Amino acid sequence: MRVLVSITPCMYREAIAFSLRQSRPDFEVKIVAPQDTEAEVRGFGPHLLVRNDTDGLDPGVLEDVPCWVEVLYSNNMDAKISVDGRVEEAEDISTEELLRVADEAADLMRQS
Amino acid sequence: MAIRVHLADDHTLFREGLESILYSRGGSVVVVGRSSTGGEDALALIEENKPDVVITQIDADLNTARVVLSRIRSSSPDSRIVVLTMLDNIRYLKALSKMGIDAYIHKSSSSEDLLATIDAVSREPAGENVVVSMPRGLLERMGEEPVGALSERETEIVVLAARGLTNYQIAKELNLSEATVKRHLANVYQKIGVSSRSEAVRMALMEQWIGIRDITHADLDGSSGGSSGGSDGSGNQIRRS
Repeated sequence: MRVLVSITPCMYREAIAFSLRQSRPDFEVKIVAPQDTEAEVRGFGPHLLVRNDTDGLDPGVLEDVPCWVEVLYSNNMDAKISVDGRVEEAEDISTEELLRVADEAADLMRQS
Repeated sequence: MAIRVHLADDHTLFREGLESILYSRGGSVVVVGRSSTGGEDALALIEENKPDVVITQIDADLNTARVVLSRIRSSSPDSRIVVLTMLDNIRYLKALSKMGIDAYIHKSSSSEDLLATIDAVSREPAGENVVVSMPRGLLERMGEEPVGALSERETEIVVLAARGLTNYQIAKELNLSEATVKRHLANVYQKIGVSSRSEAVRMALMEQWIGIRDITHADLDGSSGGSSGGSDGSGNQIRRS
């Protein structure tokens, strides 16, 4: 299970990646600066991408990622969550919520 | 002895992540309270726990920052205050320093920098120094414009206010409605962290956003039309964006 965290700023990116690694040590979690997200999506092939909506990422890139969490910096830091094409919104997303999404992404990966 | 920390950030996911990182220090840092930024819940916890260090997110205008920081300081006078911010403006940094913060960490710094800062401010209980942490490139590009830089129109209005014109007279001078002038002034107050026109004028002069010549010299056509920008204090015009 591969997770790519590209959220800005750096401190938050590291914090989220740390939480994921600590709670799910068997997941491969990688952090990347927003400008390198597209290349890492192609190279690393994440099953889950955690990003923010103001990173300038071409929306077409998301078609290659089965699950993603988009923190809405443009809208009070709420989050948009997509799991296998099903999109939902979350207010003030927590680590628990992120882990639930990561676990669903892992289930999807195992099924495929 | 462990450093006791209160962690205040409005975003649960980030707050929890930072808390995980702090806990990873093997007990040298203990999070004794966590909360959103500056709310009553935060202040109650800070007052109750009297942490060694309060880490608080501040991304607000100076007025709000002043209120939040003074309330934290009142709740626990001896706590060191570490500000986490996205704002990279030298005036903002200076203003927060004057408000008595102990560290200013830009969020594009790494979590290792945060840990090092907690250590540094804890070793300095007298609070003589301020720790500033941000990437070098960001520091070198750090803007010196006023926080939330005044627009040309706002600068014009401050100049006319400095000349002693009433809102009605300013409105007439600039072909605006009086309500628009009031709205511009309210924006100016919020941006630079003051609460009256006299304070706004004083700060604009002190910080040399406008110059004495702006106030004393009307345009050559004899009108008192506003400046299209600020001044460096010697009358040289500064373009604002």
